[in-house]
Amino acid sequence: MSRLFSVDVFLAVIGTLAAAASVIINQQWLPEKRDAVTLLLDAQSANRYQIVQLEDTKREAVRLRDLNMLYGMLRYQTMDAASRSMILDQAISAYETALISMARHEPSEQFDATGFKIENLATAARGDDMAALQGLAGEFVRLFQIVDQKRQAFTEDQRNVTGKISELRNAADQLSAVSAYLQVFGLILVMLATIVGLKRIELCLQ
Amino acid sequence: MMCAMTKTAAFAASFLLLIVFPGAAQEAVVITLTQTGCQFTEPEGTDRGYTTHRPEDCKTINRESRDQRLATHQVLRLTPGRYVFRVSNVNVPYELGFYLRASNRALIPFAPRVSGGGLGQGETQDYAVDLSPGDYLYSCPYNPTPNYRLVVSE
Repeated sequence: MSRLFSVDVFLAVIGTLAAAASVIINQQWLPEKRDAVTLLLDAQSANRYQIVQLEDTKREAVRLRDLNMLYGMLRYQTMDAASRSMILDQAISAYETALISMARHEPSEQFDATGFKIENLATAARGDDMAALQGLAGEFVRLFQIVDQKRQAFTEDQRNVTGKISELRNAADQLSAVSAYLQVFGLILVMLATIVGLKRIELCLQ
Repeated sequence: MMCAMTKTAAFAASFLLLIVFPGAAQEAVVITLTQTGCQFTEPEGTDRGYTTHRPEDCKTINRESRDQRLATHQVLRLTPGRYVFRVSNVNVPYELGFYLRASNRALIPFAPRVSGGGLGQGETQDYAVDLSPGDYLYSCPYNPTPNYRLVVSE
């Protein structure tokens, strides 16, 4: 029994186990971590796209609101009613485009009701209804807040995803280093076991 | 002399109008739509007899039945031109409306559209619109009804 568990056998077993652990780490755990990183990178990319879309929507909405204001000012520079009416129509169209563009970021089931409300307000506003104009301005603020909140939520999510990716990459780096150490350690042990085993054979033969 | 010139100019203008806007000479086509509880009866082919006292009732009904009803509803197919949608509220005990817009949300502000409310029980209102080729949806968000499809093509 004591011959069976001699030093060289012990070293060889430990060396083989270390090599096997290295293989398990390389083939099983590391790919799992890397797959998780790939998935999170996809999520990060999708998030980034959403953030860009939302930023674009906000920027465009502000531009269209400014255009609406510009049209509003121009309107009072013209004398004839037809030109005024045309400029008002353009002003409302700019506002309407901004509002519908932002409303697309509302929950899907609410979109129709919001679109309907915007459309009705715009129709009334084209008839110079001040209350409807104020209603459109109110909708602008409400929808802008929704878009901004959504962007903030995506940004927060992006921060979390980036943090998780960093953690996973660190863990993968550590596993990779452990796997390399185990490989070297196993190799040394197996070499030692070979040397010790050869020496034992020599001693036995003498 | 002036009168003759004016007449010629008016004729030329109307001729030009007909060439540029061929629909200008056409009469608007009237499309009759009937609203009962949570639905338009024409696209669904039948009055399903839903009882509703407030919009929330329809939201519940639609949540459960919308997909099945829309799968079998009749798509309204029209050619480009001027239309008057004559919408009636038969028996819904609150104010209804009508909303027609492009099916692609991004195109809504740029495509023909019409909307309006104030349709009390037993009342009928007309909603006029010039339709150009494209895919549209129509519904009543006050009832509310599902979004029915309308296709305009040459």
